[in-house]
Amino acid sequence: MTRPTKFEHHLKQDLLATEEATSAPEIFRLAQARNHALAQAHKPRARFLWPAFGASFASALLVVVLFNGQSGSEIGIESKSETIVENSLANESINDEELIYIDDDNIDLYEDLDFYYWLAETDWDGTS
Amino acid sequence: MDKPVTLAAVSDMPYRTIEEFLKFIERRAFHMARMGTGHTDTALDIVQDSMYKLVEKYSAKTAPEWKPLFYRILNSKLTDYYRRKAVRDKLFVWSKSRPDIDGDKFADPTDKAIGRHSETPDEMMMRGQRIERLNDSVQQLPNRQRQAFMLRCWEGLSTIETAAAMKISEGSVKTHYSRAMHTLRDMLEDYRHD
Repeated sequence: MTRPTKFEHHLKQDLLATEEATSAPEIFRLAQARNHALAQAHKPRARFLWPAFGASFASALLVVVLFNGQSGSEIGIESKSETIVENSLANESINDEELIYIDDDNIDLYEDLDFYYWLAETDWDGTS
Repeated sequence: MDKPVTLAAVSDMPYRTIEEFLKFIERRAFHMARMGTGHTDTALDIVQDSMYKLVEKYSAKTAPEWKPLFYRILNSKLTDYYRRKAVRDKLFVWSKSRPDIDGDKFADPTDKAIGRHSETPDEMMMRGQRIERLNDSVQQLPNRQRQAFMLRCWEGLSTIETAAAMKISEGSVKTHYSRAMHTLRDMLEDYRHD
């Protein structure tokens, strides 16, 4: 280590003087801090914290499980409702197809409906 | 960085137990922290946290290892403080905390009664003024330079020990320390010419 210069020497002297001027309340608080720090070395690990940790973990786990269950059931409901909608849409499409089918091919049947009613009545009575 | 640190022999140590070590170091550590933060309470908290961590993690280490380890912890606590302060100052620009107007800068009036019993009142007053200027100047140094200055000049650690405490290379310690001394010489030009 190189020899300190005169300037460094003076600085060190003044810094050491600052230490000497530590006030009584500060010395007291430092002693308290030291005792607190040392006390923890003799203190056994806080076993009473384990139940608290356990309870916290269990709560967190429960929340996760409930959340997943809820979101899962929501998904189930959504999927069910989607199926129903799809089915109804399918039914609607079938009805539409039927209607279209009726409209296209049996239009003559509807037009001659009165004739067929008359024909049936005539055959039943045996008269014209 | 990971070179074996040459430490003083155990017989030279003024402490043998961790309690004696903490007693030996607490005042200096407190003043270093206060010079770095400008707040008495913050400095006390930082020193307490550092003591706590040293006892918790390193009390089983040998006595020569405690000093560099303690200063490493202290420096990292101070660095954490500066980071938090920087974030706080960014978030709350209007209430940017400045140590010289927060009112807690060495609030205890007994701190100003610096001096030794052998000194005359004039000498005591001059010393008090010098130390006040020194405090202001050291607070203006960048963090790394301040740390290097405190550990090398104040604590008297070797370059190797300072490097271990600051977790930087010896070359960086020399650079930071040299810059710190240069800046302090400029700021305290007429220092000790009284």
